[in-house]
Amino acid sequence: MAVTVSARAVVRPRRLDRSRSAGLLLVFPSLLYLTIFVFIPVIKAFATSFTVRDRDDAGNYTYRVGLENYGQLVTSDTLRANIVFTVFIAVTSVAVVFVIAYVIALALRFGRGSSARFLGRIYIVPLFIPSVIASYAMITFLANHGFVDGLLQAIGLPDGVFPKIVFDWKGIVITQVWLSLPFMTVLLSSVLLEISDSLVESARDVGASSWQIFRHIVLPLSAPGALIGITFMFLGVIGGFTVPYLLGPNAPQMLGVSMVYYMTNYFEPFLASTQAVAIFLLSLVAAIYYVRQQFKREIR
Amino acid sequence: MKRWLRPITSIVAALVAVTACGGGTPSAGGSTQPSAATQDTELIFYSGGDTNVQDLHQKQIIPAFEKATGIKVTFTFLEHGTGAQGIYDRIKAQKDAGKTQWDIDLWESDTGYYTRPDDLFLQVGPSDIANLSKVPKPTLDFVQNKAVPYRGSSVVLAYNSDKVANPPQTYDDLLTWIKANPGKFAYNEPSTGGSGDAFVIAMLYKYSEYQKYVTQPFSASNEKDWDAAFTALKDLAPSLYSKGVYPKGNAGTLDLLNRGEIWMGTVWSDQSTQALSAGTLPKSVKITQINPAFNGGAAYIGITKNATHKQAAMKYLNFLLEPAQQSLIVTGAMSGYPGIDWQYMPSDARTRFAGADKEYRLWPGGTYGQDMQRLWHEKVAQ
Amino acid sequence: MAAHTPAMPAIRLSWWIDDPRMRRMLLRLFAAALAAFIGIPLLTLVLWSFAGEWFWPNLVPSQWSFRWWQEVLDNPRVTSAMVLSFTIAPVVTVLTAVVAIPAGYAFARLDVPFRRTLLLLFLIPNAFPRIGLYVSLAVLYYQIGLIDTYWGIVFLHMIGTMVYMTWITTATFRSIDPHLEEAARDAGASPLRAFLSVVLPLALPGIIVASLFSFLASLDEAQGTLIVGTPHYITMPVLLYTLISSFQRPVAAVFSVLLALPSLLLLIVAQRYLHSEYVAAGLGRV
Repeated sequence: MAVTVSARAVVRPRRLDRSRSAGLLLVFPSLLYLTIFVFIPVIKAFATSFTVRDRDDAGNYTYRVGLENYGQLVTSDTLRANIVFTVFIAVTSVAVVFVIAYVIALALRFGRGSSARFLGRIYIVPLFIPSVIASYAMITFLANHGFVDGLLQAIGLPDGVFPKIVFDWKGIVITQVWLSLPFMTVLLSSVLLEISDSLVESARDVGASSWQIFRHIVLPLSAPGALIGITFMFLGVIGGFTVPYLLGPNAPQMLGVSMVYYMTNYFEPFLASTQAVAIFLLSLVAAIYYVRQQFKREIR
Repeated sequence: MKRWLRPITSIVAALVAVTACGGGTPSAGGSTQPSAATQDTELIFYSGGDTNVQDLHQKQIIPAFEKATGIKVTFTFLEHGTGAQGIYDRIKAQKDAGKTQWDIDLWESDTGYYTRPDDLFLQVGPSDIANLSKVPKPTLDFVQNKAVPYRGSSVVLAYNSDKVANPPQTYDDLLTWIKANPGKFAYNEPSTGGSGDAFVIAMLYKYSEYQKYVTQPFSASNEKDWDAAFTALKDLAPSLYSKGVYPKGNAGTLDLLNRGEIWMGTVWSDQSTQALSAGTLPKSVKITQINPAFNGGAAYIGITKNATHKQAAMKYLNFLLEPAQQSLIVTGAMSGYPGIDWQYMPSDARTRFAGADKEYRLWPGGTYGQDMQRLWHEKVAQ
Repeated sequence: MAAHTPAMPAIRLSWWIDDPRMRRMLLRLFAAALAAFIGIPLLTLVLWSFAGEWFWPNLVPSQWSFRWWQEVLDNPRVTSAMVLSFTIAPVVTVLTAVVAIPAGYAFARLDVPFRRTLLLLFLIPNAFPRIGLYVSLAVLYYQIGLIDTYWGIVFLHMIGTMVYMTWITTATFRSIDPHLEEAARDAGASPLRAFLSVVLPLALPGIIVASLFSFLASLDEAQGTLIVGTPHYITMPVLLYTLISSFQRPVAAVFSVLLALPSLLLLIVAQRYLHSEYVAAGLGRV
């Protein structure tokens, strides 16, 4: 006699199996909010990206529907450079933060000395500093003829050798790292908490070195959770404005900055919307991955 | 005029509609005297912008005017010029409704409003306002005489007099100086501040014809001349501050000048003069104007076409253009240029801008401006 | 019969991880470097705020002065901006919590139709660039009369906070054993009562963490508020933004310190909730 067991029946006690309408009711307010303040503007942005504006010699405008804006994303040197630059910055920032945050998280999880406790206190500080302030602080800190340059020159570095960090991609990356460190560290720490001490101890008992434990136990077990943190941070950096505006080069620009310039200075709202959609699509890839990871863990 | 709060303010100004400001708005059916034969005893004046402007009218000009003429001025001020579109709409609504006596006599706002095809403003000449004969003609032509330029400012060249004994006198001299002193000159990124725009515009004017831009309507074919200009700007980059870093905002250039990072830069006449007075720029910094001059602009006040108190409005503007009142603009906190030609100004006013007390050029802005900024970014920025 | 030994090269390259003294020293160096990286930029801001005169190449101001502090504190816009920022943030946080916590509970416990799609939709505020949203939103605000209003700003801030709140509370509730609630109801409590006295207290650490993130996000928000709140509602970040455009570095520095101080006080207060355990619970041990 074949017995089919439905996974749902096993997991859910019946008394909590409420009607679907209750669930919908509870979700409704936030859904309403998001519809008015997010989804409708997003849809509008999508629609505007398909509006193509032509201009004649006398400066008169005519409008039509078309794909040329998207074509420009590919053909315009400036826009292409901006897209590449945006992805480059996002990937680099996330990679750097990941490495540093992982070290801190490992120290917090497995470390026992005063250094570990000290790390535990300071890594959280950037979370409490608004990004505008952090950007400004980084400018005074890392500019040419800024603090670090001054320090290095005081001990012998010749003038003009200090690399261009502010108003350069390096400035954006460093500031993003500074700002994102707390979030990533917090996330990675909580991920590492899942790895039980007994697992690590038994590995030690069979003679594994710390590196082996890291490489073969800690890293693989933390991967799913870590990847989620990475995608979340990636989303944040890709569409950012404040940090790239204050610290980035005049060209190329990250898409968030470029979008604003097109909108307000060049009076090209349609190209601006197109760039917004481009950022959205780039983020969507990451977002979908994030959600799928979440659901995978749920089924488990 | 909105250079300090770019780039978002342009959106805000376009999007925000103000409801009628509380207070100071007399009802249209109130006490207006319809007869043109009797003298006006009232004047309704709307204005907007920085607090400097508010103080100038409210604390200085209006009291003196009321004392001299006995005309009572009702003054309404919109901070930072927000809500300008709302006022414009209000004036237009009265025209559309066919009213013959409008409830706003004078309006100070952005230049673009006065020449709109809706035709809401009165064309004036020296027969209406005597002192208009003292006003340089190009600034009047710029608005087709539909408003009166009563103050102005322009971009000038600021330099560190300790390092630069003889500042350049022409644009070409300036370019030579920049190449001879690499890293010591900067202009800000054009989209972020007008003083940077002016440097680029001067290059555009060098390779194109100035008259085409100020006397003719927009024509995209004029922009063909710009390719050579942008190439020249790009070639200049290695000689600029940090081999081609363009600071953000007018303040960016001033900051570099202040800290001695550069020896020369383009700045706004009023912003730099105010800073010098306040001591936030060192005394070694001086300003000068090249020939032909960097561009600038005037601030205008317009008389509405069917103003109820036309006579009073014209009197006020005439009063404002008197050298005595114009001096208040130049020597006061506003640090503005006069609306009348410099030759009519008393000498103490002229010394404040010694070196820069010359006529400035104009820039039509608008579509040209948008294109200039975009093309600069595409062709020059790195 | 030899035991299978690990590959030799791996040990040789990473010997320093195993040597406890080496590890301790490296960790110490790392901690010092991190402290410098985090602390010194903030310190330079503080120095600038007291700089009467500071020209290159001095490492500290050549003249110290309180003049900038005076100038800023005398400015009435500063106090009103600070008050505005610190009153809007709690309002935003509470409102988001009120709206998002039920949603989080529903996603975690109840059978919400299209659950996965909805959860993905809830990520959109983070996936779509905020600037693009703000500009479209400004046009909408103008049409429905929310421009330059208090609530307009609150609703805008909520865009940033909604995602955090919803996802974190969903994860929090999910991590709480459903049988606890069951037991409470077996004992006769109503669903609401069971929620309030059993589930909510357990979810509290996660909710606090989410609220903290929301509060900070609201304090940080500058771009949207600049578009939607001027001219009457100027928050601290907006004021700072416009001040950074002023070339008086010390003024912007003073301002930065003023804005950062309350946040750092919040940090000290919130220390106890930021232990990994709480956050892990909050994130549902992601």
